[in-house]
Amino acid sequence: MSRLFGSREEARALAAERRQVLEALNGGALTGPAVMRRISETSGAAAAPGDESLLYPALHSLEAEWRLTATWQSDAQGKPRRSYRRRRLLGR
Amino acid sequence: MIILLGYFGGLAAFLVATVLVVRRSERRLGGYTPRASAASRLETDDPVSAYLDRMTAELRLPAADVAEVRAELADHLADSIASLEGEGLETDGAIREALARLGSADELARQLRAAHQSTRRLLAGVGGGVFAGAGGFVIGYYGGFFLLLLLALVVYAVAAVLSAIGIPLPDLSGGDRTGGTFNSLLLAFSVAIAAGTATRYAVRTSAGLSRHAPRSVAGFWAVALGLGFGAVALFGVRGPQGWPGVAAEACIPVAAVGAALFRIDRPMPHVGRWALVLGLLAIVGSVSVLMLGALAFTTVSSGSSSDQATSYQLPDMHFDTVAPAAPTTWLPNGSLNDGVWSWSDSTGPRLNVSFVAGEGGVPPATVLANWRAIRFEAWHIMPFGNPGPPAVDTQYSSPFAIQPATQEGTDLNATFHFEKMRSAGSWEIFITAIGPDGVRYRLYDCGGGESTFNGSAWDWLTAAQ
Repeated sequence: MSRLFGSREEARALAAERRQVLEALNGGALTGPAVMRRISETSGAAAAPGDESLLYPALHSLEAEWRLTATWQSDAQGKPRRSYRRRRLLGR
Repeated sequence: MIILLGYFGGLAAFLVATVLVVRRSERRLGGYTPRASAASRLETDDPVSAYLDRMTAELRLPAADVAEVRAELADHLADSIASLEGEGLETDGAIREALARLGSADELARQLRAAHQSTRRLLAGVGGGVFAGAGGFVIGYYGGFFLLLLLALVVYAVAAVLSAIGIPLPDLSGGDRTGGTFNSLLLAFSVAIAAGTATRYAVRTSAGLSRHAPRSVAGFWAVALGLGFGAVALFGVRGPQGWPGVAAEACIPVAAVGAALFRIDRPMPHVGRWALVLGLLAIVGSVSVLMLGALAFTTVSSGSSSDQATSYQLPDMHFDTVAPAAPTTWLPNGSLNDGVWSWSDSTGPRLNVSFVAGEGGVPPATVLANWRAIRFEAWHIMPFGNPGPPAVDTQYSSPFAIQPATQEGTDLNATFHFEKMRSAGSWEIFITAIGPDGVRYRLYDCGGGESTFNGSAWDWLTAAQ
C-alpha cells in the first residue's frame, strides 16, 4: 500500500478498490474502462458520481507495486489504449 | 593479465549499466511524446480539457508519467461519454456524468501522485540514484581529468609559442618547481567535475525511478552529497597541497550542490556517437602528447648529463649561520659516518648517522662523551633551482624544525615530517650539540633536499607553518 493515502477511510476504500481490480483482472488483460465495467457487472450496483475516482489510483498503485503490468496496445481501430494484466510469478 | 582484463571489463560493464539506467530515467523525466494521444476530440472539448488540465497541473510527476496519465484518462472519458450517449444521454449531460464519476480533478491528481510515488519506487530511486551517482563519478572524473589535461596542454602550447616569438610571460608557478601545485589543481578540479556529474546523475536518476519531479528530490541530494563531497574534499583528496589546491578542493562540495540545484529540470545532454569519438580522440591525443613530452624530456636530460658539476667553498654555504663548527679537539675528523637516508613522500626523510672511530682512532664512546643535547636541525636553504650555491638562507636565524637525536648505541636517528609542513621547501639538516664549554656547535652536515606538503586539505589547514 502506498504511504500517502490520507485518512484511514480513504485507505480502506482504496484497498477495497484494489481487491476488486485484481479480481476483475483474473480473466486476462483489460483496459481501465473495461475493468470498471467488469466491476460494475460483478457488483450489480448502478453507477454513481465519484464511483470511478479510485479506479486509476488503484490500477497505478498496483502497477507501482509490480502486481500489474501495463502496456499500450492498439485496438481494432488502431487507437492506442492502455491495458493491464496481473503479474504472476509463474506465467499462465 | 586476467585480473587487469577483469578490472577493465568490470569497469566498462559498470559504466554501460550506469548509462542505461540514466537513459531509462531520462526517458521517464522528459522528451516524451505520448503515444496515446487518444480522444483528440475530447481534448478540444472545453469541460474535459479543463478537467484534464487541472488534474495534470496538480500531478507533479515526471513528464512521461503526466503524459501517460492524461492520455489514459482522456481515453477513459471518451469511452465513458460514448457509453453514456449510447444509454440515451445528451452529449453535455454525458460529459458532466463522466466527469462526475471520476470525482474532483485535484483529488484524483493527489491520489494518482500517491499511487505513482510508492515506497518501492522510492527505494528503487534511492538505489538507482546511488548507483548512477557512483557511475557518474567515474565518468566525470576521467572525463574531467582528460579535459583539464587537454586544456593544460593547449595552454602550455600557446605559452611555448608566445615565448618562442619573444613575448614575455608571467611566472604562474609561484616558485613551485616540483609541479605539486599543478597536480593538486588537476586532482581537485577533476574531483569537482566528478562530484558535479555524480550529483546530477543521482538527482535525475532517482527522480525518474521514484516518479518525482527532479526539483523535489534535489534538496535531499544537495545536502547528502554536499556533506559527503565536503568530507571528501576536506579529508579524502590527498596529495601535494597548497593554498591554490585547497581553494580548488573547496569547489568540490560547491560543484555537488550547484549541480543538484542549478537548472535540474533540464534534460541531461545526450551523449551521441560523435561525442564519444571526440572524447576518445581527446584521450588518445592527450596521452600521445604526454608520452612525446616525456620522451623529449628524457632525451634532453640524458643529453645534458655532461654538464660540469659546480663546487662551492664552505663559506659560500653560510653554515656558520647554524652554529660554529665543532672543534676537532672534541670531534676528531671522521668521527661521524655518512648519514643513511630512508625517504618517502609520505613519511619524510629518516636519517641515521653513526659515530665511528675518529682521526687517531678516538673511540666513538669517548667522542660521544664530549657532547650533550645532540639534535638534528632543519634549516631553510636557497631553492635548488636558483643560481648560486644551495646555501643556508641567511634571512632565517633559527631552524624551522628540530628533532632530538634518538641515540641507539653509537647511532643517531631522527625522522622529519616535512610533508606535513607548509613551507619546508628546500632544506638542509645539521647535527648540533652542546660542547664541554656550554656552546652549541655544528657537528655534521647531513645533506639537504626539497619537500612539498603532502596530505589532505584538513592536514594543510591544521599544519604548522
